[in-house]
Amino acid sequence: MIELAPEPTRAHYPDQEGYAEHGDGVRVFYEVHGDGDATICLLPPWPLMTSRSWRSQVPYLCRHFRVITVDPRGNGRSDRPREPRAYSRAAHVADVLAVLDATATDRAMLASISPRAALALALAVEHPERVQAVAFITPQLWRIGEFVRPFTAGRRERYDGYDKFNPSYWKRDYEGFVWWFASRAFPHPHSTRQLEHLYEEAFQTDPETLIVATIGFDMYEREEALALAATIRSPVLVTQNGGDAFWPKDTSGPLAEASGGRLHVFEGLGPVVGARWPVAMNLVLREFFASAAEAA
Amino acid sequence: MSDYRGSPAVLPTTEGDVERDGVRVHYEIYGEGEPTLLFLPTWSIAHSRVWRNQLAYFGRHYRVVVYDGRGNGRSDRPADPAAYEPLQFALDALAVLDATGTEQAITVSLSAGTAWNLILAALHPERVAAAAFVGPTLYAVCEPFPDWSKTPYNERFASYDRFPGHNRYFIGEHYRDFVAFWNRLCFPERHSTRAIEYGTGMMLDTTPEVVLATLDTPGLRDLHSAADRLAQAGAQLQQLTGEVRCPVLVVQGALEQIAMPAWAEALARDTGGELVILPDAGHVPCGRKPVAFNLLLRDFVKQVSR
Repeated sequence: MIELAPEPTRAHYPDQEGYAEHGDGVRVFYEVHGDGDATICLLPPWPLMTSRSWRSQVPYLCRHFRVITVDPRGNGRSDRPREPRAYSRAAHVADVLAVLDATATDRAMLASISPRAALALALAVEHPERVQAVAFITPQLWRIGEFVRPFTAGRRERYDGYDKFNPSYWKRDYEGFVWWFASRAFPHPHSTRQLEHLYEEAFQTDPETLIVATIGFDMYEREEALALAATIRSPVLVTQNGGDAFWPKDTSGPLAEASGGRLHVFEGLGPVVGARWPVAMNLVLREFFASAAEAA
Repeated sequence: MSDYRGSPAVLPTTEGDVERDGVRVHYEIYGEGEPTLLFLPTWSIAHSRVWRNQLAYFGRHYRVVVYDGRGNGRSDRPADPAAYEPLQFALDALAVLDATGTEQAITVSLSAGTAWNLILAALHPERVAAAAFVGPTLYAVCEPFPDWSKTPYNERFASYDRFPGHNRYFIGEHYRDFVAFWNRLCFPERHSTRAIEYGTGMMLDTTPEVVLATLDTPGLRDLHSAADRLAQAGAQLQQLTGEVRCPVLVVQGALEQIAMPAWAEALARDTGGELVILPDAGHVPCGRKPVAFNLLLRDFVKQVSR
């Protein structure tokens, strides 16, 4: 009888991993996959997630590029400081630069997911010598009413729908929030695996950490963001999910226009295309990064 | 049956019908080259799309012949239980081989297909170059028997919550509940919603009357429970294994809830075949773990085609 080895839990294991820091005492964890000539840095997500939220991109992209992932402050294998100021945009910029230094990466092509578009924009305009291209996936750059209003609404008796985007609710019923968020991120049939992955990541941190991380990360004002986007000199891709709105869609069009980048709309797919329709996302990312690497 | 194929990864090279004994059976051919793989039907709750994840892959490398078993898909659904004897399925397979100009094939069966695959390999060795058996349910040659088979077959219950399994009235009067129950048994793996949806769709492509006809074949309808039927099938099939001369592969999922592990071991032992246990797989590894299954079957095909 032949006993086959159990399924590996990861499609690709890191070729290198380590911690980087930049003097504020917070260590962030990174992984390097593959050894292509050009490097992609998949930026840390909002710390409800970890760098594993790129799990469906890494194995494919690392066959063609060198791929770096970074766990966000507040989740994964990175530290979980408890003060909002530790989660500033500037601290995140410094994290990414420290990871690029630690991995001897002169320049990288960036990909950001949702609100971490603000991190990608900051890196591209403040450190253009380190940034070779930027892919903004379902970007948010400024604060969005649907999220700000419930977040600042204070304690309620009951929390329905978007009300759940509220720190008091997170502390009272974190799992309820995770479920609400996950079921909107993955509303389609056959998403049990994606839901399970999001749960695994969300429960590696706690509501107190997520609250300070959300308060501490400074987004841009709309006009400021678009003015800065116009100064990006490297190639830009902006992707937007199709289908029903959960993630607000008011950023992608103006950002693409301001930056002179290409806008790709995943018609009928979404919200989280990279996790639920990875082939569609990966082909678009590969084409963009390959052409950007060639142009450089 | 507009939804028969859904949006398939590959379309057949050729398709056609063959009629035998007044029953029309629909077949498809994918790809070309040598050898031919004949994917046999399983129990008539499913049809040839049960092999959906094999067609494109093996069609790229070999010639694949697949057909809907009588009772489902685009084949006829005779009402007479006698039409569903294992021998009839084996004769359909020979008719499909003839109609497609296939002298010899590597035969692959799933679950109940064990019976007709064994009949072909034992009694028609010139047509079978090698045989692969997946989740060999009917090779029930020893205790213990699975829980689903112990439900009294001919007794009507007020509720089947405590007696889910093969029961005439559960199937006949609560078919949707039976379909849900059976698919849960078939797919114990996590994240099987899509596989369950496909399985449900195929079970709804036939009728409870046809499913009962397959279980009421002569000599079986008066037995107490499915366990008795399984024991009888196992005893009959075991007599055939001594005749099998071709290479044999037996594949069993470690999470099986329908066929017992000892039956797969016995089938491999009795045929001198090789047993492979797929971890994290249930009753339908070809559907739920297609990459692992396809690589394994391809290795077997390469090994026996040398």
